[in-house]
Amino acid sequence: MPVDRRHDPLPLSVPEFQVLLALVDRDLHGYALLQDIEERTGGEVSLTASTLYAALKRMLQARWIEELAAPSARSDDGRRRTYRITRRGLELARREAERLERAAQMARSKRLLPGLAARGRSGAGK
Amino acid sequence: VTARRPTSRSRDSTSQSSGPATRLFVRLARLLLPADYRRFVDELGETFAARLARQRAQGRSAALVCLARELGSLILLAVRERLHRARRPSRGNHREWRLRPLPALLGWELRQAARSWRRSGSLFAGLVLTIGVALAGATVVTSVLDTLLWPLPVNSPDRLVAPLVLRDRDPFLVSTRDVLAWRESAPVFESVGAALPLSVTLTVDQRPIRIAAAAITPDYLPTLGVEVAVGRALSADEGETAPVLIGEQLWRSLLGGDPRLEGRAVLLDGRRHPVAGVLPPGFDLPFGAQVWLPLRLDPAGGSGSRELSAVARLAPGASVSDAEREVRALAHRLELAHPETHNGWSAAVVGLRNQLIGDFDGRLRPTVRVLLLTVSALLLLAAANAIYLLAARAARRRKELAVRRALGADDWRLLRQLGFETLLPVLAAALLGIGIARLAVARLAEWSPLRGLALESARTLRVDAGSSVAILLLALALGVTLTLLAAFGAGALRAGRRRRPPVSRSAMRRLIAAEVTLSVLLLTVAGWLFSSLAQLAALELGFDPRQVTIARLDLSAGAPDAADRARRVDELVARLAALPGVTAAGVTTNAPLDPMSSDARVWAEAPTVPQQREAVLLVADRAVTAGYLEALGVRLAEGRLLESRDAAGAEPVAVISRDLGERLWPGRSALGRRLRRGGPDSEEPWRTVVGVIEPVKEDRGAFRRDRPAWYVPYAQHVPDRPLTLLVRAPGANSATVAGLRSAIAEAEPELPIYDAGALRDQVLELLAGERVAGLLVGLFALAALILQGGGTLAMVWNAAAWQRRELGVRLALGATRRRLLLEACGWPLKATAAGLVAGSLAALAAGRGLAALLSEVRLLDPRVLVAVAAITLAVALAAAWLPARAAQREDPISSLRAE
Repeated sequence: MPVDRRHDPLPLSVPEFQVLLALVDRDLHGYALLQDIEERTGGEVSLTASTLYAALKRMLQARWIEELAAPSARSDDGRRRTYRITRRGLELARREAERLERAAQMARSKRLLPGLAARGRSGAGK
Repeated sequence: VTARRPTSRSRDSTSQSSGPATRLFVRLARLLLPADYRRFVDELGETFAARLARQRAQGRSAALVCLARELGSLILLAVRERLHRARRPSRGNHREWRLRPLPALLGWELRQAARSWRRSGSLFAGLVLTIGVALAGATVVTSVLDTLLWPLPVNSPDRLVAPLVLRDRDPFLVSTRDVLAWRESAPVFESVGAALPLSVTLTVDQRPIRIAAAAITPDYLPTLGVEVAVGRALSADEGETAPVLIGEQLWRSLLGGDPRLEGRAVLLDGRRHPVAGVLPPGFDLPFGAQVWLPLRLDPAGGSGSRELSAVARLAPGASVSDAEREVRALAHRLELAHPETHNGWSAAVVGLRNQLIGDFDGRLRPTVRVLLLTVSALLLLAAANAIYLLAARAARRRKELAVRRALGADDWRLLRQLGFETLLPVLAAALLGIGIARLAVARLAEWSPLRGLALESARTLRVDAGSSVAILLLALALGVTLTLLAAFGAGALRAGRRRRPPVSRSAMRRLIAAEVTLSVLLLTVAGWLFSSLAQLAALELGFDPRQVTIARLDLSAGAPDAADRARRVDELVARLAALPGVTAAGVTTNAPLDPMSSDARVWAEAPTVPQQREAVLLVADRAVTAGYLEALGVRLAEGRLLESRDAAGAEPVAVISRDLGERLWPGRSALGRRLRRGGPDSEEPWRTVVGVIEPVKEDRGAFRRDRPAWYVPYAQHVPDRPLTLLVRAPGANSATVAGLRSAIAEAEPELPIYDAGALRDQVLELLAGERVAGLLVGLFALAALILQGGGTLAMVWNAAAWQRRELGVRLALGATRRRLLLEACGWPLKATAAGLVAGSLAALAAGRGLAALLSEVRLLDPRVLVAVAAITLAVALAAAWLPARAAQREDPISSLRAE
């Protein structure tokens, strides 16, 4: 399937954004990704294995992430792939976060959300 | 970027990864997901295993939820991927490479399918109608079955039976002695409860309302497995206060649904009864009771009158036939021990459900079987037509499909396209079917055999969400089957080398023969049902139910004195007879075809045939006023009817039915002879027979047979029982009811009138079961005939169209049009004849199953077979001849050019 790079893929879907976010500061394998997402969102986002791999497959194709060769340090991890975010993925995640931030700003200016002092929602963090 | 830091927890869980659930998951993933997922499958399985292991630690249910969610998600992903790949990516849509949500993908497929149908609208309409009619039939039948097999508001209803007593095979309510015998000496019953049906006056805000009630033994509710919803149950010894249980509806309307029952009471027949408890919603056994009083059975056996409704729970392991054997043996012992009350009485056991719908002789099962048979035949017929139409369409599009294949579509893709194209008319048909069924069922509900039933929930016949969903699923299954048959059967997916007619001549012949077989089967069964209905409708009732209004009233509560009651009844009848338009009016203890009949034993003074002391004659016992028999419209055979001179002090008289006279004094006139109530040692006065009338169908249970009856003047015999008013007046029933009500309100303002209506409705209700079955099967047969004719028409038409070139050549070479026409009509007619023979044989075989349903009817009426054959051949001839002739009329030159 050809990847269309001419157009902006923003906004990202929830699984895409959460996977990128999980990979921002460390490389993770499949199940660790699920756990990280679940813990960070307090269970609000809970992907199934199939949803995760559907997203991983398409993000690999689009080169937002890349897979690392099986880690050499541990022999029993032979089949397990670890994923790392690419520069493009990092860029997209940042732009998505900024987009969300802007959206949150708008909500604040309409007093839908409390002022800046009460910030700290995980989805808007950089 | 820091190096990988797999958490310790995930490592633990992967070590126990390959349980059966994981293996299933991996296998499914490998099977369902597209090839480019293959390299992820192992990892997917590991991740799944890790998650499942973690959920398992939290408990079984969490693990199950997780498993279901993961499997569902996997299947959904597979479906979405497959559908996604089926689409051509549209240019310039940046989201194209992402998976779209399922509804969008399905919508795209359906839009494609709709586009493909745009050019063949009439074929689409034909398909929708064909399948829609069959699905409507299926919906109606499932709704009827749903209602017939409704869930009873009792615990494990399959173990509940109703033991009853029989006299000449007629079911009766049971006596105290029967209940005691079953309770003590029938180990086949775990428990036996009894209820005495009553009718009581409930006073609400000083207004009297007549409601159904029952006195129940303490084990009645436990036997049914019903517990009080609020408050407490009735105990074995309730003492003088006589507390009652009330129904849920009454509780809401009277007590506002207040759960505190202390100090609450209801006024029944002028007496205060504290409310002990409330029964759960929907429960109204026996006979629609709304109030339940305590009942203690007389351990000595009581008077011997049969007025109890019994219910028994089978002991574990016991079957209905075990119970039947045992109660029959017990009945025999009772006959010997108590000949004065039990001689000539047998006993039987029916399932509670059968008892509730009045199905004492097991008609339900054959009825259900006939309905299922007919509706399956109809579905098969519609499916056969649909297969043909779709196959013809697929074959015609072979070129288009070949082009698609050449452009890279694989078999799956083409099959999916055909599938969605089939799904569209099938879904439309399902909606049409449900729509038709809703209308039909609403009409049908008016004739429902269940209307006379207790149990509110059973009385409403409707198409519920459940049967609609079932029909949609059935339609989906049908769609898939049709797609596969049309695709592979017609070879649409095979690369076509030679252009051939869509379906071979021999296949069409077989299809026509099969369709004719089915429709002949349906038509014949319907014909037999109708001829049985006609015979039932022509049933000699012995009275004329037209223009008769009936209503019930009960004088017993306010008037303990018999003379007072007789005087009031006389006054009432006089007022009713004086109403404008009323030609006759009267009062009886039981109108004909009442659910409950009261009977009396009679003893004749000097019978020609010797009477047996041990087998006293049992007759339907009716105390009636002068004018009643006239209002009923009976036919006098001899003598006179009852008149006002047959008063309390006058000579005791009776009018008897002709069959009673023939039984006691065969070949002689009964006039002037005497008989009396009770056995040989009775103290009752002798009554002189002053009139003989043609037999009246008095008994609901035995309405197909005559039972002897006698009619005595109400003034001379005043039983303490509820009464029924009868008024004969031409004109609208509602006007009569209104006049009747106001006349009674004037004379007796305190007296509640209830169950007012037309006598004719009661008669129709009796035949409702047969009418509904007959109507349904008749409609199905009509639909079958249309489908069969339509199918033949479509096939001959298509065959002629495919043969245009051949016909053109033959015409040009000098073949006569007449010869070609005969040829074109010949093969479908031959096939029809074959189907006719097969269908008649099938109908004769099915006739055996029908025999149980139509026991009183001359079965296998050969006239029906002849009529069906004539109709079928006529339809086939028309269906074959019309298109064939149209094809022959064409100019041969244009036929040749058409290619």
